[in-house]
Amino acid sequence: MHSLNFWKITYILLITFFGILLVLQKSVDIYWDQTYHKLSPFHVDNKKFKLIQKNTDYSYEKLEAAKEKIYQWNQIVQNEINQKLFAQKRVRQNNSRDLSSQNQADKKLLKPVEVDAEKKKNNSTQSAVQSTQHQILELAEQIKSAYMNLWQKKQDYFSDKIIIRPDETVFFAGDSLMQGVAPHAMRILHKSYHVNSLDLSKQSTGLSYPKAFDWPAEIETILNNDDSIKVLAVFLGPNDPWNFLIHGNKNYSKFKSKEWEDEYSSRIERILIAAKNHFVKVIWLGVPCMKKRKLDQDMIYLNSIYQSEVEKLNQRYLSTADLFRCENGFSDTILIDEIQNKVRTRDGIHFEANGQKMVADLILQQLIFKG
Amino acid sequence: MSYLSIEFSLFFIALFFIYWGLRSSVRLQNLLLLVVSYFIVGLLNINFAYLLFGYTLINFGFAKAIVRSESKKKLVCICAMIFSVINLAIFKYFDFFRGELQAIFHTIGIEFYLPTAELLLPIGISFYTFHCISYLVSLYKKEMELVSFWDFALFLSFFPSIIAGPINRAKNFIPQLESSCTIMFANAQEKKVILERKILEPYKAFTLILLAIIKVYWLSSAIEQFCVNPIFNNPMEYHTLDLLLGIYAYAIQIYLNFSGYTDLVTGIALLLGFRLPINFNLPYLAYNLRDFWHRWHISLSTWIRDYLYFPLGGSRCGVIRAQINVFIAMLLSGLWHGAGLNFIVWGGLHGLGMIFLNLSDYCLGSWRLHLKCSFIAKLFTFHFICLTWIFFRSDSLHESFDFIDALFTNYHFIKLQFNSLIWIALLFILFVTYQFWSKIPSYFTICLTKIHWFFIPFIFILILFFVVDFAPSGIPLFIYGGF
Repeated sequence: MHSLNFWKITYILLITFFGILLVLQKSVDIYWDQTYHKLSPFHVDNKKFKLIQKNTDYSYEKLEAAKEKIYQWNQIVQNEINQKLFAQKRVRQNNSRDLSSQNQADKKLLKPVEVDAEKKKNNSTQSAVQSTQHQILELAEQIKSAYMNLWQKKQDYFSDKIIIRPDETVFFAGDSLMQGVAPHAMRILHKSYHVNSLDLSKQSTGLSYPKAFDWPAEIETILNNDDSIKVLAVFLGPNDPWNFLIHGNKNYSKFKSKEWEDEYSSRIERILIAAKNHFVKVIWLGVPCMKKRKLDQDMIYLNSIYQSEVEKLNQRYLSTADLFRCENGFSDTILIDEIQNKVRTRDGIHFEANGQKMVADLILQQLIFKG
Repeated sequence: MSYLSIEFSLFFIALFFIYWGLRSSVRLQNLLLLVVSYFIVGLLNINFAYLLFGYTLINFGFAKAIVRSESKKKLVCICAMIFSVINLAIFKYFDFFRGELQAIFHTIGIEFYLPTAELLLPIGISFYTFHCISYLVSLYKKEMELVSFWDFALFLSFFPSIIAGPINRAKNFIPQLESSCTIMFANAQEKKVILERKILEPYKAFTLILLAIIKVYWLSSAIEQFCVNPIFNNPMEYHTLDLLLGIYAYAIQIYLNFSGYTDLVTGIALLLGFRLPINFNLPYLAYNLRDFWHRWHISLSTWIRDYLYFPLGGSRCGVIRAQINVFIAMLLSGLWHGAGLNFIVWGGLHGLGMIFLNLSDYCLGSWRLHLKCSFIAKLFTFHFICLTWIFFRSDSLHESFDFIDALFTNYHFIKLQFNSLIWIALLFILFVTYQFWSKIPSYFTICLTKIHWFFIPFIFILILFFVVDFAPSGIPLFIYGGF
C-alpha cells in the first residue's frame, strides 16, 4: 500500500495533463481552432502523435464493422416487428390499389405450373417456384414505385414552388439556432401533414471548421443515403466569423479577406450542388440581427454571401431580419397584438420559444403541401 | 470556464502548486482560495462577483446583529431570511412572473407593461443563498461562533461548491476553514494550536475526478445527444418503446451528469484539503419515494427538511398538517430548480407521491411492500421517478402532456427508430446487477494504491484517451449549474 505526498501528486497531475494533450492532438487542435481561432499552443508538428489518434480511428472502424454484424442481426428482429406493425396498413393499401393488370400477370405466370399435373406431385419445387415468382413481382413493384417517386421528385424540383408530400422528408441542418427552431417545425410537419423530418442540427457548428464538423460532407452523405429527402433547410452563421486555416495553407486566412470569402463561398456552393444532384430544394435562412455590434456586422456580411450563392443556384434565401423587426436595431422583445413578446434570449443571439416558433412558421410557409 | 476544460485543468494545477506551497499558513491559503473563487465567478460576469460581495457584506451585518443582541435576534434572523429569499426570488423568478402577471393584467384590461429587466441569473445564487441561511440559523441556535468576514466570504464563494453544490452546512464546512483552534485541558488551561491543512485521500480524489470525466464528458453527453434530445424534441414521432427508452435514458443522463459533477468537485476539494457532503447514494435503488430522497441530491433534501419542513412543524402537528408540510416542501424543491410550471408540477408530483406513501404506510400498519418484495418496490419507485422526469425535462407543461399522450398511444403504425427492445433488456440487466457495478470505483481506488506512483499517470492517460476519443465533441454543460 503506497501513499502519495505533494510532490508525487504534482508529478501525476502534470504528466497526465501534458500526456493527454500530446496523444489527443487532433481533438485539442479542433477545440483550440473553434474557441480561439488560432493554432493550439500545445500543437506538436510530429506525425507520430497524429498517428495515435489516426490509428485509433482505424481500429475504431474495425470495431464499427463488428458492431455492424450485431446491428444486422438486430435489424432482422426489428424488421419483423415493423412488418407486424405495418401489416394492417399494407392490407389497406393493397385494397385501394388497382390490381387488375397485376392479377392478369400473376395468372399468366402461374398458368404453366398449374397446368402441369405431374409437377403438382412435387410440392416443394412448386412452392419454391411460386415464392420466386412472388419475389420477382415484389421487386418489380419496388422498382416501379422508386421510378415513380424519382419522376415525381424531378417534376416537383423543376417547379417554382417547394412542394412536399406525405412520407417525404425535410432535412434540417445548422447550428444551435436551427436546434431550437427545428423541433417546432418537425412537430407540425408530422402532426398535420404526415411529413417526416431529419434534424441533424448541432450546436457550435458552422462552415468555418470542417475538422470539427464538416457540413458539406455530412449533407452529401445524408442525401446519398436517403432518397425521401425533398427539402433541405439550413440555418447557421454565428459560429463562423473567424479566421480559419484552409487546408494546404500554412497561415490562418483572415476573416473577410478574398481567399476567406472564396473558400467559404465554395463550401456553400458544395452544399447547394449536392442538393441539386438529388433534386432537393434548399431553404437557406439568413441570420437575424444580433445584440453585439461586431457580431451583427459580421452576420450581415455572411448573409450577403449566403444570399448571392443561394440565388445563383435558384434556391430560396429567407431573411429573418423583418421577422424580428431588425430595422429598429436589435430588440429582444417585439410587439405582437399589443403584447410585448420576449423572442430573443439574454445572450442576444438565440431565440426564446416564441422566436423559435416564428422562424419555424416562416419555413413552413414556404412549403406547398400536396397529396 | 467549465471545470471540465483544458483551461481549468491548467489553472487548477497551477493553483494546486501555489496553494500547497503556502501550506504553513492556512490564512494565506484561504485568501488564495477567496481570490480564485471570485476570479472564477467574475470571469463569467463581473456583475456576479459584485452581487456576491454585496450579498456577503449585508449578511455579515445580519450575522453580527444576531450575535450581538439576544433579545432582538429572532427578529433579525427573520429579516435576514426574508432578504435572502427576496434576493433569490427576484433574480430567479422575475422574468417568469413578469410574463404571467402581464398576461393577467392584460386579460383584466389593464395596459400595464412591466419592464423586461435584463436580469441574468447570477451563477451559484441558489447555492450560496442556502449556504448563507444555514450559517445564520446556526448562529441563531448558538451552534457556532461568529467567524471573520474573510472566512465568511470564502464560505459563500468556495469555488468547488458554488456552481452546482453540494449544499454545505456551515456547521460542517466553516470549521474546515479555521486556521487555529483552542484546546481546553482538564486543568482549565488553554492552548492555541495552529492548524495545518493536508491533502485528503488523494487516491480517492483521482478516482472521483476520472469517474466524473467518464460520467459527464462521455456517457451523459452521448446519451443526451443520441437518444434523449431527439426523442424529447419530437415525442409524437416515436414509438411507445422508443419513448420509454428515452425516459430511462434521461433518468440515467441526469444522474450521471449531476453525480459526475458532484464527484468532480468532491475530488477537487479533497485535493485542496476539504470534505464536501455526500450528494448521492445509488438513488435508483431506492425502495420507496422517501428512500429516494435520502439518496438523491442529499444535501438539498436535508437542507429543505431542516430549514423548511421542520420550521413549518414537520410531523409534530398531526398527520394532516404533516402532509401539508411535506407537500409545501416538495413544491418549493421543484420551484428551486427553476421558474417554470413544469418544475412546479415535478415538485407537486413528488409531494403527492410522498403524501400517498405516508398515508398508505399509516393505513397498512406494519406491512411494507419493500419488506415483502424489495425488487418490485424498487422497480415501481424507479418508474414513478421516471414519470416525474418527463415533466422535469420537457420545456413546458404542454410538451410533457404531449409526451405522455404519445407514450400511451404510439404503439401502432410507427416504426421503431432505436433498437429499443435490446436496450431496454440491457437496462433491465443493469438494474438488477447494479449493486455489483457500483462497487467498481472503490475497487479501482484500492487497485491504484497498489501501483507504484510512477506508473499512475500512464494509466490515467490510457483511460482518458479512450474516454475523450469515444465521447461526442464539445464541452458538456452541467444541468444543475443552470438552477
